[in-house]
Amino acid sequence: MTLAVPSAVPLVRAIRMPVMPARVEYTALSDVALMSRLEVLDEGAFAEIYDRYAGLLYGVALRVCSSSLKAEEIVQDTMMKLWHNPRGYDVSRGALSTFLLTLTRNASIDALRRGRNHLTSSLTDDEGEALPIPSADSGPLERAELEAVSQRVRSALLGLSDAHRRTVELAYFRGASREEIALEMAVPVGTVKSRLKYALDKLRATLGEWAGDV
Amino acid sequence: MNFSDTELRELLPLVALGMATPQELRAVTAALEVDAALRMEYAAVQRALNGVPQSLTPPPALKARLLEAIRHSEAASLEARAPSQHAPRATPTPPARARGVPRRALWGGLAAAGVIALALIALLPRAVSVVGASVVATTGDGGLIVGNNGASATNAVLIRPNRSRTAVALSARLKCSFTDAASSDGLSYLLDAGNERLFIIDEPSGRLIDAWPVPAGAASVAVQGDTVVVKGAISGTLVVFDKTGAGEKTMLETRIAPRKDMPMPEVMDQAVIADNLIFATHHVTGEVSVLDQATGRELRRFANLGKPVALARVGTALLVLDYAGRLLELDPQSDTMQREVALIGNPDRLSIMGDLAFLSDRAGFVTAVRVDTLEVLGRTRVNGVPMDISPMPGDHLAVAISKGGVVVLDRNLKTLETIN
Repeated sequence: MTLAVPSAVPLVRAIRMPVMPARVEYTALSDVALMSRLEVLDEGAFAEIYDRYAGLLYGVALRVCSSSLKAEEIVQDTMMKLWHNPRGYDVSRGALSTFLLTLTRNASIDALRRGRNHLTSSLTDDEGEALPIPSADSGPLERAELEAVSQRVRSALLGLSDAHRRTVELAYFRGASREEIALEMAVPVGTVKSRLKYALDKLRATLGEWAGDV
Repeated sequence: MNFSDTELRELLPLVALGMATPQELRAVTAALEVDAALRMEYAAVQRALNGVPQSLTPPPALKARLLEAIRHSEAASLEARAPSQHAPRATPTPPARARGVPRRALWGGLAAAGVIALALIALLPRAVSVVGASVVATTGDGGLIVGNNGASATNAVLIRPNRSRTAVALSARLKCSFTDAASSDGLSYLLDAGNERLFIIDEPSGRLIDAWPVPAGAASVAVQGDTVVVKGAISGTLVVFDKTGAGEKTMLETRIAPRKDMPMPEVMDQAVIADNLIFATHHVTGEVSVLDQATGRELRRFANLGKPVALARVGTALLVLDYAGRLLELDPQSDTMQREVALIGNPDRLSIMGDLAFLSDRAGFVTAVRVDTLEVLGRTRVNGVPMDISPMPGDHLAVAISKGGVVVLDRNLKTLETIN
């Protein structure tokens, strides 16, 4: 037997969540707490998650599919998937908003791509869930904060050059591959990659400055 | 192909956008697992991308349609299980089946009433059998809480001191794979590695009141006062839940070893709380970690302990069970190993009852050891596969037998009763 004193202990996460409350105030609960309540089939928690994110999910689905009927269908499928398999979401691997947006965007792009072959990998695995890509951002993003982030990012998008903005939009809303974007914009594939990096760096920098202001 | 640090960073937007090739995705995923700075950068990229779409108000009918859909799906899934508790203890709601019963005709109503009556009959105490027992713990009233692996309406059963039974509806979504059970302050805790949930049951009413998410390969639960500790054998982490009052708890997760996948039968580890410290085994690395209960911070660790799968605090000493067949006595004060005794077989459970330590072995044996001398006093074969043990009032020992109910032994390892 030997004894070792760890020099540094990484704390993976420390969060607050509800436990056996006498009366549930769903709006006050974090995303993590709401998700844990889905395990006991709590309809109120499900309704609150819908209220928080349905607008965002509907927004992305409508933008990708350009069909309100299809967008409704996709949001409904995404939310039902969450209800039937809440453990598909892992809090240690990212915010709930990211998880839901990924599911919705992938489903929307899949609907758009139907019938076409693509060489790029999808963010959905065989069961249609997000790949297990860990993220340090495990904290719940509150609705107001999410809306503020969205406003900030979209105004930063407008500040980009047409070429950079178009590259991001083709990638995000059309799910276009690097080759497809390169063909459409008549630039080398490497340029698409560097434009995306540049654009995302700009958007991140905007959020970084904003976070610093708060 | 190896990617440089700069290349990996350039790939982050492509991965987040689903534009990476499988090779690039594999490289980034692997790097994210080990590089905290890269994880933060990836999270920032995701956060920026989350802001790209504009939020639009969906049609109002969509929410109503969704809620109706989940009620129907919920009612359908109740066919195979007892009525479940959807709301917290203080605000119970009727089972979803009641909402899902059509009221179109009298015959429909009668049929529904018949189904409900059959469900109620199935829940009568006499009808609840304990066919198998994977985990067992003694409850506050001197009865037992038993968890049985698989998928059935009787995955969890409370056995009262008079041997009447109450089936607990767990609302588990997958087959249960229980690894541990505990009881404290009128609440039973069933740890289910299959569903990665800690089910919390109100013992007097037999109702499920909460289900907390737990780390992968959750192997052990320890409860003391308002603190609940769960050890993840696969995740390599230890989670400390602390009820802080006002309907909230904190959840603190500390990594003590790298994640390592393993088959369910190898999900074995134990955590105990004592003297404001948490002691946890990690059999994969052969270590026992000592953590501060309040902060979750690891203070020190004992290494080279073979495959430690269970432990117990006895006085100031720490008994550690090595799956290879050794019982070790450590002295955390002097950081030394005091004694060691060789055991027959591969016991994987350890439970202290007064001056005796009991060990169970899935090969079919229960062993009694004197705590003060580590002398092996006796070993008995039980009929079936012992999965878990728990001390009971009156110097009795409950042994959970896979597919064989619960066997009650006395301190001399003599069988007193079989509950099935």
